[in-house]
Amino acid sequence: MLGKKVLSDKYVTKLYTIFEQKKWKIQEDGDYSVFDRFCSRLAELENDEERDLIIELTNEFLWIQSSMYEEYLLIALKKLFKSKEWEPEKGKNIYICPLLSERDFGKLKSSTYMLYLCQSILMRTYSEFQDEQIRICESPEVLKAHEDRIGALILMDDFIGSGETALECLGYLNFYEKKIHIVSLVAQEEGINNISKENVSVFTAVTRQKAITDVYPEPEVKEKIEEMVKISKRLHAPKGMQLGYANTESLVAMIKTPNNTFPVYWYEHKKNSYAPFVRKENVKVIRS
Amino acid sequence: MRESTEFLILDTIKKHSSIMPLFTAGYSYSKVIEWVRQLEKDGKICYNEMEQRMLSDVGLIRWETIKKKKNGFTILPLNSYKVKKIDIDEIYLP
Repeated sequence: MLGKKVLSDKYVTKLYTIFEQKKWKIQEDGDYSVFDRFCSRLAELENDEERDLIIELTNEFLWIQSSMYEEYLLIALKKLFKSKEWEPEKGKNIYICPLLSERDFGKLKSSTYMLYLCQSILMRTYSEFQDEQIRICESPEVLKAHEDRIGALILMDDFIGSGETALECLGYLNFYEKKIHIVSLVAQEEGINNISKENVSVFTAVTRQKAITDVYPEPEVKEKIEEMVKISKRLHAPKGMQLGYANTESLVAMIKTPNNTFPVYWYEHKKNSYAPFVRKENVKVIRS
Repeated sequence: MRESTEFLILDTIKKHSSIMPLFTAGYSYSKVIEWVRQLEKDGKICYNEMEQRMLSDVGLIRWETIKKKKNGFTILPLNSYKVKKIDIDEIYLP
């Protein structure tokens, strides 16, 4: 059993029902299954009101695992290719680039993982990938030297939260004067709206709203926000993250959980505190 | 599922109307809930009006059957160590 407190069978059963409906695995080969970690996190909460809130929100939780990335990318790209905005210049190449802010150039990010998927066999079911010349760039830095060869530019990521990273990337690309398209597997509505102010469209497989503010009736919003803030504070979530980064109120986990998601789902402060979709800095990438 | 596991779950529910003692004892949530759901599908566990788990008639019969098996055996000595039964008037000299 993980953690010190024990969860009642009422909540274990409720969580099991959600896992069943969402087809998430209950048991896994490793030592700490997501289900066990989730139960441990629910046991850690102060009272049943808090557990009821988290169970209610979890019904809407979206977990895009790595095996689902290609399927979601195909959906998002289809939306782009079928849109009126898609008018690549003939005789030039289609450039695909990770959606990165300048401070993340050279780092291993989810957007760079997406680039590998662009080389998959299934992508070739689209004529754009089968018949046209595609150039995959490791980072936006590469684009400066190729500006005159770009027939269409696609910036790609797996998740857009507040849109801050996208806006920073677009800021870096201010030398590029033609149309830019952004493709993401999942995007928060708020992020899409922020990006559209720069006259750039976002094409996604799934669009998400703020989990409390945009979903509950106004009289309930304040109470639930306060409850979530209390939960986050007790878990010692980082300052400014009580409702997810930039108060995004996200209910999403991808290969890695974005910090836009409520910290109750990913933050671990101390020993014997286990989060289901944990995001921790103990796994680091070393660069030369 | 092993018979010992099945008996553990059925016995816990019979005594406590809950599987929480198994979590307290250290069994993982995921293992226990999968075992319990299997027994529910088999019709051995059901719910009462207060939504607590309880053994169904099938579950009770199964509990009794396994219980008898657990208590219904004797460990006998090896045949080579068995002593012949003697008459009440005879004197036993080992």
